Amino acid sequence: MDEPAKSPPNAPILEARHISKRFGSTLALQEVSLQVYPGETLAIIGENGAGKSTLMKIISGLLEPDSGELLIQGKACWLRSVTAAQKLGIALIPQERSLCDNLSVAENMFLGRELKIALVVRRIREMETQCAYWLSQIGLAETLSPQTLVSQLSQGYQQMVEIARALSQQAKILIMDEPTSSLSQRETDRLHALIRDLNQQGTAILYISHRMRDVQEIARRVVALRDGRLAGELTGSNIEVERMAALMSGQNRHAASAVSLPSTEPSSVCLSMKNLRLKDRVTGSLQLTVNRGEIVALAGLVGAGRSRLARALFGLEPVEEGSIQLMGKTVLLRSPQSAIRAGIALVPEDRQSQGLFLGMSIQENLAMSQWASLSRSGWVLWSKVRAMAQNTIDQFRIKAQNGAQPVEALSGGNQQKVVLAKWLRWEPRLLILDEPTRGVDVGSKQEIYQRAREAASRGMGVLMISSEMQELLSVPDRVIVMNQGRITGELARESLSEAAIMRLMEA
Amino acid sequence: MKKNLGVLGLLLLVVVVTSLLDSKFLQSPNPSNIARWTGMFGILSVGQSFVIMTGGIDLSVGSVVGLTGCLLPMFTREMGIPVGIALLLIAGICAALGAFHGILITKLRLQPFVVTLCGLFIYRGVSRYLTGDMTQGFGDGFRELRLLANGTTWGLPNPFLIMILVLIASSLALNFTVYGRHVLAVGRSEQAARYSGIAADRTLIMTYMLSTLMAGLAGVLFALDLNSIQPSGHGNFFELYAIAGAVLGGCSLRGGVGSVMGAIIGTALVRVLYNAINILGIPTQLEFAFVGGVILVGVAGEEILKRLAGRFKKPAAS
Repeated sequence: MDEPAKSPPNAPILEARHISKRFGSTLALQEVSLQVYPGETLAIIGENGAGKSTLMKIISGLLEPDSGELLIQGKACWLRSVTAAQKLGIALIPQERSLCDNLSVAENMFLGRELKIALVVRRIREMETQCAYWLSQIGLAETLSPQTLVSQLSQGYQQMVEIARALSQQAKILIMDEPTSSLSQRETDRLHALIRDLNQQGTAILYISHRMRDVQEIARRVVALRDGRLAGELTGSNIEVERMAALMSGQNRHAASAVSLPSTEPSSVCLSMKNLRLKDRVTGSLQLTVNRGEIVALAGLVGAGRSRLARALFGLEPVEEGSIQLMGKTVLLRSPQSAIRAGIALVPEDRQSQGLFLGMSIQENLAMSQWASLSRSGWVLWSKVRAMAQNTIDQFRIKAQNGAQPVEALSGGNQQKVVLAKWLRWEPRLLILDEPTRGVDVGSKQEIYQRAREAASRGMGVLMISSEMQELLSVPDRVIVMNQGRITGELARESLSEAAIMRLMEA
Repeated sequence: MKKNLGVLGLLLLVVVVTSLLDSKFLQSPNPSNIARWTGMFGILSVGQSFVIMTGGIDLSVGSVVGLTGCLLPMFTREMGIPVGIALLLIAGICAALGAFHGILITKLRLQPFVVTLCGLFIYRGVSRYLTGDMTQGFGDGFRELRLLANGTTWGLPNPFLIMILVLIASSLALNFTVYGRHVLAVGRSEQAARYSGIAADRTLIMTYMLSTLMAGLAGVLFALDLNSIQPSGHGNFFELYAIAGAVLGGCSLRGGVGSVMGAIIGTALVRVLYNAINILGIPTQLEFAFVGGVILVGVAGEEILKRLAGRFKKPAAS
């Protein structure tokens, strides 16, 4: 930490050369090269699935690349594990806090490498002294005591402790994954001040973020990834929201807009929500309408409260006050069962743990949302289940031989089609899609958009949560933007633009 | 059925080896006795296997067997309640106990292990208190009722036949009713079940009720068969035999997988082992060690077979 960087100032401290990584049939990274210089903050931006996190996992030793090499201070390195990367001075501060709640700051800082006498007795005093030193290095000597329990700290302070821990491990390169996603403005400012400080001391920061404003404020160089490739680089005054958005989404917009079927004229109101407040006391008073025949997108950053709203509409999140009307009738949504009875379907955010029963067959997964037409007084009519499954497989072009196949054998895109079909097969009135194309290949994406549009044209209301700019710009008829539990604005199709959405996302 | 071949093979192996070592094994009334006990324990393991398939466990069933064993003679002999009504009362009590477990597990979010462990203690204590620790029985009376447990029909012990009925009904319930699919779905992933609109709480409560009802049925048969019920000891360890049977039969304690047929074959294996230990003159002190060893061999063998089979099939896509 204290010795000055020995390499000349212009030599990169970290260099990635032609890194490629494949998962199954998808190329997550393709020939990605980048340099990181000591004392700089390099921001990495890109949409979900662009390959940011894969790249960071490779740099921090969590994943090994299929090809390409990593050079640290000019030397080629083989990062077998996180520990190996740590020894070379690379530390990852993950998006979710990873401290042990029940231990003190000092205990967390030395977790796994406790100072000991004769292998058993912990030198707690010494650890606390050293901990205090590292806390003073990031300017927290006064505010934080090494003895404080981590559970008593806010998210922001917990993150600071993680940074201090990384520094105490002689980290030269800090990778921060969405560091501000759960921070308040004050905490963000404090973090940014600390980052500038660390830069001065020669520490390089890799800053991954969806928040364009934060990136603009802290980074002097920005690298954008798109579909696993390097999409471009911006430096200095060129770092503007519009330019970044353009790099992230690319120019070829026709890929997604091909599905824009003639959007039907909104006929009547499908969902109308007035002054909805949730019991969590975070989400503000929400108001929105979705018309029949219309696809409305909900945009916002992670943590804006969109999924929470979707869960509330599906009876999974308790509602404090306000009213929900479906087709003009007030509905009480106490449980998913009551939501389904009212005609509401939710394709959840997490396909693997919420959407599907892995290990069960395709036909059982399809049937599980509603047995009404597939059973008689509690008895399963397997012939009807099989026929329904075969029908759905054909109709949704799911790549499977038959419905008895286990659902986990399908690719991500086909699994998502199963989840979508599970709900669409009984024609709900309102279809809520929470990030319906996350981790889905381009072909399946198109089909999912197509299905949503067709459903709308049959008179369904579709509410789609999406974080993908390209999707937001091309699929919906209207975009409603949320930030920190509030609805910050609404954009009609004519006034849709990346910049407009981003402004509202951070409003 | 295919997934039960391993246990079935092990069962046949033990039967063949034991009968070769000692011909008494196949002589009357030994096979009939094994069948009778397999019947009663099998009913227990059917209920248990449903609970295990939801990802839970029911440790209370042994004490429920003890409780019903005490209640039936008390109701009929001491209090003079007509048999039919006594049986209905017992069924009602068992269903209520199961519902109580289920409600604590779903509404209070307590862990099944803890809830049913407390049940194990409580019902044992209640049995001992109600009877004053006095041995219960029917004496010379109720001979006709007792035929339900110690009589035979078409040469087969009645409890075995009752078990067959339970097996058929529960197999149908598991494979051909919506409830059965919900049991497996909740066991696979309770979260996905909730997101699919499955009434997970109701499914769980019903399953714990099923388990205690089965325990009550088995408990009645045990009481009628033994005619001498020690409130402090009757039914001890029975929950563990039920779990062993279910696990041997392919139920995963993680939930979501299992078969009723398997649980019964597993139970039969445990019963045959006990019998073999007796017949072959293996020191009874070794009983538990022997049974535990064979169960371990069965479960480990199953796993090894599965891996070998996986290697010969197409390499699984990761």
